[in-house]
Amino acid sequence: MLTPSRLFRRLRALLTRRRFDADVEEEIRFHLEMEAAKQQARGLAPAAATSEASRRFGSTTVAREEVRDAHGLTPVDDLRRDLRFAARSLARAPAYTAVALLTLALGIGGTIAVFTLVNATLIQPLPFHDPGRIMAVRGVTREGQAIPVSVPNFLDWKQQNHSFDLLATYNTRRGNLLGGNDPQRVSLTTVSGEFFPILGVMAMAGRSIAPADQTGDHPATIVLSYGLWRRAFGGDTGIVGRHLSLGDGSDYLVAGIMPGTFDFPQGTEVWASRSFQGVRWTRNAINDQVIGRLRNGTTLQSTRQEMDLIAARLKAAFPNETENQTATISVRPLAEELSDGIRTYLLLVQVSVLFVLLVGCANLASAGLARGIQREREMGLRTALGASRGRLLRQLLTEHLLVGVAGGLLGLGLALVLLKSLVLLAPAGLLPLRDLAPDLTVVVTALALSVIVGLGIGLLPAILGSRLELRSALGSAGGGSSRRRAGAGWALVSAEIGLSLMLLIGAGLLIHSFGRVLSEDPGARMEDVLTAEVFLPRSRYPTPETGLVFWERLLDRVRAAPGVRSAAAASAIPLGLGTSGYLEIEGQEGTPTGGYRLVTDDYFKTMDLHLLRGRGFTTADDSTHPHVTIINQAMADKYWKGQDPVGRRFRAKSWDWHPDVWLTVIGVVNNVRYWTLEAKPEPEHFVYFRQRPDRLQGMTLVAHTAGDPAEVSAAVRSAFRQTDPDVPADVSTMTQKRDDTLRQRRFIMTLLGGFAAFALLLAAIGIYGVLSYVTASRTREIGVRIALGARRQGVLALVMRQAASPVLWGVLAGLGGALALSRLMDALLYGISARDAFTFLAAPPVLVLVAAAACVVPARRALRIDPMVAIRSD
Amino acid sequence: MPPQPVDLLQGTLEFLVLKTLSWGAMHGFAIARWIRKATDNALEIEEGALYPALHRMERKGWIESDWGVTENNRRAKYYQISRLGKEQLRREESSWTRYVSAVSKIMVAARGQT
Repeated sequence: MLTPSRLFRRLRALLTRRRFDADVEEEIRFHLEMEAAKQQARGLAPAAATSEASRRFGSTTVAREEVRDAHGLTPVDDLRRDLRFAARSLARAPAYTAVALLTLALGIGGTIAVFTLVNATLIQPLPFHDPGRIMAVRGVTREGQAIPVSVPNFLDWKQQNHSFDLLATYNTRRGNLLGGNDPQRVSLTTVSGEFFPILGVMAMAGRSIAPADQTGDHPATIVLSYGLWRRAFGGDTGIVGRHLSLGDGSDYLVAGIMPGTFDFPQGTEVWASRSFQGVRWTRNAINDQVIGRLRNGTTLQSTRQEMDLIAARLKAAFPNETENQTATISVRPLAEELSDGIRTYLLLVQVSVLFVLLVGCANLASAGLARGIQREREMGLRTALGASRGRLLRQLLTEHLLVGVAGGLLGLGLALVLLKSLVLLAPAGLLPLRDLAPDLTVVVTALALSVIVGLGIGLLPAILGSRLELRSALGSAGGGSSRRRAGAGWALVSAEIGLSLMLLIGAGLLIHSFGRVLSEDPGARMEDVLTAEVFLPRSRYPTPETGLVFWERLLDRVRAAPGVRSAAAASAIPLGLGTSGYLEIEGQEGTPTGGYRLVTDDYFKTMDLHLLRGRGFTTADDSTHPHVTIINQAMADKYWKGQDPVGRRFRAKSWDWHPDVWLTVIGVVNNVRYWTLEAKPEPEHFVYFRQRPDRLQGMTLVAHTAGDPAEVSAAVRSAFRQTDPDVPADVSTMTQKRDDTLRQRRFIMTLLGGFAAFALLLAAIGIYGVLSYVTASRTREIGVRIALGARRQGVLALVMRQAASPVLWGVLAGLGGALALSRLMDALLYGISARDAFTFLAAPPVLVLVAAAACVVPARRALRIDPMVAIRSD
Repeated sequence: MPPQPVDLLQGTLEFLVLKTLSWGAMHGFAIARWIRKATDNALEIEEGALYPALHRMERKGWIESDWGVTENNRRAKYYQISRLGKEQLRREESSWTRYVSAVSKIMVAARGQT
């Protein structure tokens, strides 16, 4: 029976092996010395006494072995011997060992890293209380697009539903944080009182925002993120209880600081309470996101039915309110919505890593086969010397297991490095801000995987070459088993080629599509433009006139700064976020929409927008003159197709503070892209800041500079300080903004490109390996051919032809696989189809070239065969 | 003339060791000497075989070992019988007694016939 204490003793014996051996040694020596002493006492000479003692004792070696046996140590000794032998034989083949370890480390490291990511983002629950009941509630347009909600509609939802315990709104934007040491631009989320109770996350210091905040006598409240607290307040908890300003006229009590693990909505630095009282909200302004906590015992289905009923009721009650374009209400688990953006990417990366791992395994298996052939003679010799087949097999397996485990451990280390760098390199918003440490399950799975891979690779050659024919093995290379192995090797090469081609096509599609995105014309100047986003605090700039004064002064200073060619400001700049609203076009029906942009003098000049028709704004267009507007080409095409839009009139009902004043079109400019390079240009119109000074709080300064805009940024910052030191600005450049929009695309493209390149390299090594040993095994035949007068081309063709059909089959399989998986890529591509003919045609030649290159070395080796040597060998 | 050595039956050595150790803790050499003396050299055990037996018994938990010092201040490994070993010894004593008495009955009967 194996009791714990005996198990412990046995384990200790195993672990303290050296001491154990020393103990046995000493025990035996003691016995021999005592016996010798006794014999001497009987009168024997010392030498005779010692030999008599030995005689009486018998073989010390046998005793030692049997003692070890008694402790069950023999299998362990065998394992040690096998391991030592395996290590020695691996060290004798450094190239094979290096390739094998590298392949496994990269394959398994990549797999662990990616599965950890998948685990953290798609599988692990959100770090909130009972996250399964937290729902994202969105309006859905007739086109099926999810849109935010207006405050009155939200209040109606809240009042009429019986499915949710709690419903809350949240709304993220850039905002000011004033009253600390320096004014800050921060990512600000205003939340209604139930937001934190729904998530059920506790503050790290102080408290979070409660439903009572900003109602009745309770003050408006803010909560700071851990990052902002450290950055702007030096991690001083004394900030809790103090008052700060968001520049909107109210004072906000700092109620608490959230823990560093809380990051919802992603990137938020300040959460602020909001009140729905005292403001007349319209159903047109759809700005808020909604989350809710499902009531216990309520199903998702009944909730959806109820919310749809409410949507229909509201639609009937307010037929004219435009938001009731909202046809239905969508209710989905928040976790599902949060992983929307990343799911496709992760799936793609997962499949790619799996492919790389498979290619790696195929490679290792074929390398193992090649080694098996090289060692056939060694194995034959050892069989002849009496090694049992089981023992040989065990030794081979030990060797592969050693490679597997070592590779797995290397992979684990690599995964940790990869995860660290992925978090650093991945664009913000792509990965969740969480602890990305591989959990135990992932690690155990990966190590199990490495053992299985190791065993599998070890078993394959063993099975294929299991009938070791002594005579043929010793007699000559290349018996039946070696041909069978060559066949298996080529099958593996085909698989590698196929998988590599699929990766190559995937990467090719992404690269091609990236090129398409890059070639999109943003429609505006990108180089040498400095930008500075500003939101004027309402507390300091309560009236339109004060805002106008700020901008005139600031622009004067910036224009005077050295290195600035021209400067202007706009409410939305290219690649930025624009606001869009409903229009009423004179003499037209329907509900046209268009972007609303407020611009200052010189905006078109600074951003290099071209006037295609009509005229630009002049200082004469002030409030005493008819209100004018300039539209873009997209708007002209959409609403006045084939007509001259100049002189036409429309009203901007959603955004204009004078919604009843007609705007007369005076000019048309070219289209500009907002949000991203790939977003289609939408209709937009520009209004002039001297006629519409009322929306000057949220504007972005743009300055066309003579050289590197970064060099002018100090001067621009100083212009801000001179104009008003309490107005913070986000300073950036247009190229930086453009790069930001491309980061996600560039990231996934680089990642998949890397995978493809790596798989290609592995496939090349695989082809090289198989072709090398197949050629080596035909050395004599080739030698005979050369001796009989075969020409160089003939020999080359002979060698290369062997690789041709496996490569061809691989290419065909890869093309088929890529077609089958093309749907996976659809969502990630821009401007091309996932079955883009160019990419599908361009990828195979690349692969064939690489394959051909891999054949060169074995082929040249065949050419150098000296017929005399080849024929005499073996 | 020295008595002819008797082959040890399987497990007999272990029985003898247990019996020997029931007098007190001893090191391997002492155990071997004791068995030889007690049996008047009738049981010639190859001394080398004693040690695997000791370690086997230790693994079975019948005996325990610890390093100690002899009268001559020499480090030696001492074995002593454990509770489990005592139980085992009792079991073997009774089965041995039964075995011996059964065998001697046969011997007596055989003598009576001739």
